[in-house]
Amino acid sequence: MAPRLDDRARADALVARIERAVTKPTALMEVCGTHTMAIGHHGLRSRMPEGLRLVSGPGCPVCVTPCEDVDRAIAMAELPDVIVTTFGDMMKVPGSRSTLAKARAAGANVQVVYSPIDALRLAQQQPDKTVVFVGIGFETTTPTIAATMLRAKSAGVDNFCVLPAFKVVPEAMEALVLSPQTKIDGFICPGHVTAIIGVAPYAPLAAKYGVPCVVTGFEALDILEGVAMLVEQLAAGDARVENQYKRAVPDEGNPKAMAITRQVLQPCDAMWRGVGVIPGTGLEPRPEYASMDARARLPVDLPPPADLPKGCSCGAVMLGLMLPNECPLFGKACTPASAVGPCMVSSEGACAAYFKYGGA
Amino acid sequence: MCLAVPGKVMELNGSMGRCDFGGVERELCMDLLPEVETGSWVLAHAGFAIQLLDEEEAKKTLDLFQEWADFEAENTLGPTPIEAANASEAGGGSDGPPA
Amino acid sequence: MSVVLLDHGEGGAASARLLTEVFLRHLGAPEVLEDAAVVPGAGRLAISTDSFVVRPAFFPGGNIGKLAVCGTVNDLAVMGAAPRYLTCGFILEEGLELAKLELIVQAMAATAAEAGVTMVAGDTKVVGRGEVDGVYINTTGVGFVPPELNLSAASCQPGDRVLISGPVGDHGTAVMLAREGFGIQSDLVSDCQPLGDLATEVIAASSQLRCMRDPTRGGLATTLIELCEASDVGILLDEPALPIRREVRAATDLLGLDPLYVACEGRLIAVTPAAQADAALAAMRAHPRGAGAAIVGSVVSGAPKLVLETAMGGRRPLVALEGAQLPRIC
Repeated sequence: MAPRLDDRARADALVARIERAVTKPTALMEVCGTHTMAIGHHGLRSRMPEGLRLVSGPGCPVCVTPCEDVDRAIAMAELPDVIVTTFGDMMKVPGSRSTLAKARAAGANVQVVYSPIDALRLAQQQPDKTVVFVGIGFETTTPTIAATMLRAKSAGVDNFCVLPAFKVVPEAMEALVLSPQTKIDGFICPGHVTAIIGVAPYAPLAAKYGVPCVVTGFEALDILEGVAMLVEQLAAGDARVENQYKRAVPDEGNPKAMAITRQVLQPCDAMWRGVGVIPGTGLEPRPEYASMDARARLPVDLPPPADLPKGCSCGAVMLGLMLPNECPLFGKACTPASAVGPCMVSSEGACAAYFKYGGA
Repeated sequence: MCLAVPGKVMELNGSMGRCDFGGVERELCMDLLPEVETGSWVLAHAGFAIQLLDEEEAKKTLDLFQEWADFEAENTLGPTPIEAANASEAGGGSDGPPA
Repeated sequence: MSVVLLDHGEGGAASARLLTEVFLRHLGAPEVLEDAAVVPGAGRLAISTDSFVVRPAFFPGGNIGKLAVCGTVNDLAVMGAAPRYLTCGFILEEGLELAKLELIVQAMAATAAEAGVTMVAGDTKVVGRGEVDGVYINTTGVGFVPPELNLSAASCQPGDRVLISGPVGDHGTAVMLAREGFGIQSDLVSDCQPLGDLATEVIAASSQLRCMRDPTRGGLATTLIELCEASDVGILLDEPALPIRREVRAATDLLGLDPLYVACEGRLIAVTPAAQADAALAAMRAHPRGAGAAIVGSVVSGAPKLVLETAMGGRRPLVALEGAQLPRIC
């Protein structure tokens, strides 16, 4: 959004609030990759007081998509009469051997779309092809794909299917808090995920683990205000769920979107790249929608996925255990030009953001 | 995971809506917001409206809507005479074949 | 006969007809068709070449022909060379509609006239259907640099100011919206225009002008990074000062792109000593092609890096993009 004249004054006032409240070393985790990008985009880290660390979390659905899902999408794109459609974010993510972008250059049929609806339209325009949509996303995105699958069913489009790679956030946040090595004092909660799921899922984190949670928007002033609210809670010894982003997030979220998601998808275990399997954090099509599950529609033989290469620390970085520049490969073997792990490739991966913004 | 942008619903056509994002327009699917009305402000993500924006709350925090009005009023980046001429040429098709 | 055929590329009668009826008719015919143009001129020769493959070939605000003239004219103009002569080479796809080719060549002629350049040599080849996408054009341009003028990317000095002649990202955004079918509608047009006369005004207004550039692929940020590296200086950009149209902001916000890396095709960057920046700015704004010009940054000593001072009072390094920006939802 265009900067306004009085934004700077408001930012300075929020920074002053933050400085007043931070009296000891504090680590706040921004769960969502879009927050990581926004913080870098506005250079907000350079305005945080000494002792306040903003740590990037695993909320980058691209970073946490396992190698195997990328390999599978590539293999499907190489099949005859198949078009793989995807959000732009996935194009350069490294699989075991290649990327969707490289596969396209080698002749595979891969198309970037802005909306899953565009993929459905493509399927309707090309009935002799099978159109696969790479279904990555957290709770902000998942309902849009579920709604598209509903439309496909009611329109009788039988050449449209989805490769499920959905993940959910709150359980992952709990796993982070429980992990003995992470020390997170507060969560900057993902504003748009919360616009869908509502504020209730964060209550156990605050109550059980004493970790304040502030639902935060994405403009620079939103983020500064969210941080101010968190450090003020910590200074007061509070641990509550607060909503900084009231203009977009009603407490109940979007029940219709949740209902559509539940109608089409059901929970399953999910593999988080670099982290491992976190039970119940994935979603896959319900039996009534099994015909739209690309895995069954287009079986492909895959060699075993490559483990993260030696030295790749994406897992630790995503859990906030390590700063990107503490990884032995950062800036040497692993750069945006030749990314080893997904954190460097994804536009909002912690390492890519760190590389771009220099930890600013 | 969360790139979503505010826009104003200009026209509804069944469950699709034409939305203005401040000089550019796109159609959004309203399946996730059945209660949306023309004139509503919504958050757009991946071609869908995912949530309604509360105008009152928005005014309190960022003066989001006032921002667009201000920007319009003080916009000094209007087309140069040459660009304006090009724009009307392009519209008339003399720089390109008929659509 | 309404489409380009392979015969048109064979150098025989069909080629001659295409040459006369399309190219010479619009671009001007010399008295005698020689193998090379011998033209008058003296001084230091500036020479530049560029190839154009833009998709779609017709976009809001112009077409590949207009772009082919502007691109090379502007590369000469920013070196302080008055652009004089252009060559053009065409690679045409069999089956291309002649009506489209005519529109492209007409646009080249009109733009060349506007820019005060003459097309003096050319070539046409035709390849089979599918071997190129419609039409590809190469232009090479020649101009002469006045003896006292020495503009260079290596001349920027700490204390200098950085100016841009108008809003950034118009061309890349307009073309992308026209090409990619993301369903985004706008009135945005490309900023594609020849800048020779604007460059002349800036040179006249700033006797110690260090250098000029026309940012194209990779946008404002990419070109400024090149200046940092060539001059071994840093540049600090002032975010609130950057001119960006609201439509470009809205479209790039929707797609998750950064307008500072989106192509321009009709903008001029000028680096002047601090004392001459206001005069250069006034000269830009007084010219129709410089509406919306602004002083956007300063040259500083230190590491050769481009840094944005954000509206929030933060600092963000602007680094070289790896390749194309892709739309994102995250």
